[in-house]
Amino acid sequence: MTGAASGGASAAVAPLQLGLVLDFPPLLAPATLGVGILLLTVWFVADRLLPALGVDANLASETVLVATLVVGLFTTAIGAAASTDALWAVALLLFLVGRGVEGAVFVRLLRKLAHYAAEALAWLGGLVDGGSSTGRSTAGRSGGPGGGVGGAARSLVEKYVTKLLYRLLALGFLLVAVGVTVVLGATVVDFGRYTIPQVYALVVGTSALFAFAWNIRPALDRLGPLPFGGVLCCVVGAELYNFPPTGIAPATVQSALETADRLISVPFLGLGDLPTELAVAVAGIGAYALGAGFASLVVVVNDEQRETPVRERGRPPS
Amino acid sequence: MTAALAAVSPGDLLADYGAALLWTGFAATAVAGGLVTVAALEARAGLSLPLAAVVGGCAALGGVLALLAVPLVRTALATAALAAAVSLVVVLGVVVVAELATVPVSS
Repeated sequence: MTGAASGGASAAVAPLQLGLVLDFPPLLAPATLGVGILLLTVWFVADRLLPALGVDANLASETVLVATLVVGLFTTAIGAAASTDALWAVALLLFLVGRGVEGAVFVRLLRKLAHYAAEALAWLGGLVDGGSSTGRSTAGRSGGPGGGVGGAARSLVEKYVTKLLYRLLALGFLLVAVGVTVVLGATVVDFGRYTIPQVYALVVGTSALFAFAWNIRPALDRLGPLPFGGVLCCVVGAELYNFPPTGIAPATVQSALETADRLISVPFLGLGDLPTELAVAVAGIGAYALGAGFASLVVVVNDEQRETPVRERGRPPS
Repeated sequence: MTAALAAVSPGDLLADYGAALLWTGFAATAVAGGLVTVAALEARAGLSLPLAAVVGGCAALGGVLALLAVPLVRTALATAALAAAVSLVVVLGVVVVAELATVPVSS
């Protein structure tokens, strides 16, 4: 068990990543991130880069060629990094890319909320219009059960509230059922070094992974399985990643970490030597914000481009 | 307790495998480079498959021999691979973020 889980003196060196909660195999996080980056790179080279260069890379055999080349390139790069002090800089870069992708996923969540809000506003607008026209046309009569305000309200309840309630109920039932199962299961199953809350956290985390996959499922239709799996691996790997704080890492790693500290510290603020872990966490938040900001920019530009032809179509011919 | 954390360091785990990884990468890159040469010669230059395979095989073999014999070639290829991988990862991050942002939202 790692620092915070064990408490005591080692709690002072607790890393900030999720990898702390459970003792994952050490290479799980970098391997997950690496697989994600590889999947995304193969997709990017075969699907975007080669067509942009005028090479038809849609054939399976050519994709295999590209995959071999990319794997060779990355293995060489990791070998070169492992032979020098650059490995932690590469690890930091992978982590930051994973955080950036997480930021884009957050913007997607915001877009979904905005979509719901727009639909609710449209419903409210329809309610006001429908209510006033119903009032005008059926003056002196009360609104019938089939139309007007009552009908609109019922359709909203059926469409959103019932659906949301069902989903919340299902989620609550799942969480309670899984929790009870874990607690009851603990009487017959030995979790080894792990406590019940840790096992429960792992179960909930795993279900969150499936929920995340469900949330970004439209990307599967649009981009294909390679980038879809790549994004999942990147986000999960970045969440698990566990940078060791200064003082625990071996001397060669420490020197690389100090280099990274110097690279990402802000000298004019006079912060001095930041603990590496804190610096990495701050850099991760920066990458998250950068990813979210860039994704927002893309959304705005994309929406404007989509609306421009609509406006031009709506303009009367001169 | 701290031993588990120290072992999390990939630098520690991979330190002994740097050379092995480097040579595995060189081999994979040489094989892929040879195959890409064969495919390009066949598709672009109109060579028959056996002839393209001979030329591609010779190119890959020449590359491997140069890697084995000349340290500067090894250093250059390793540096280029590292630079290319880092650049690809950065470009990739930007592309994936842009793609994710434009995936349609459904209720």
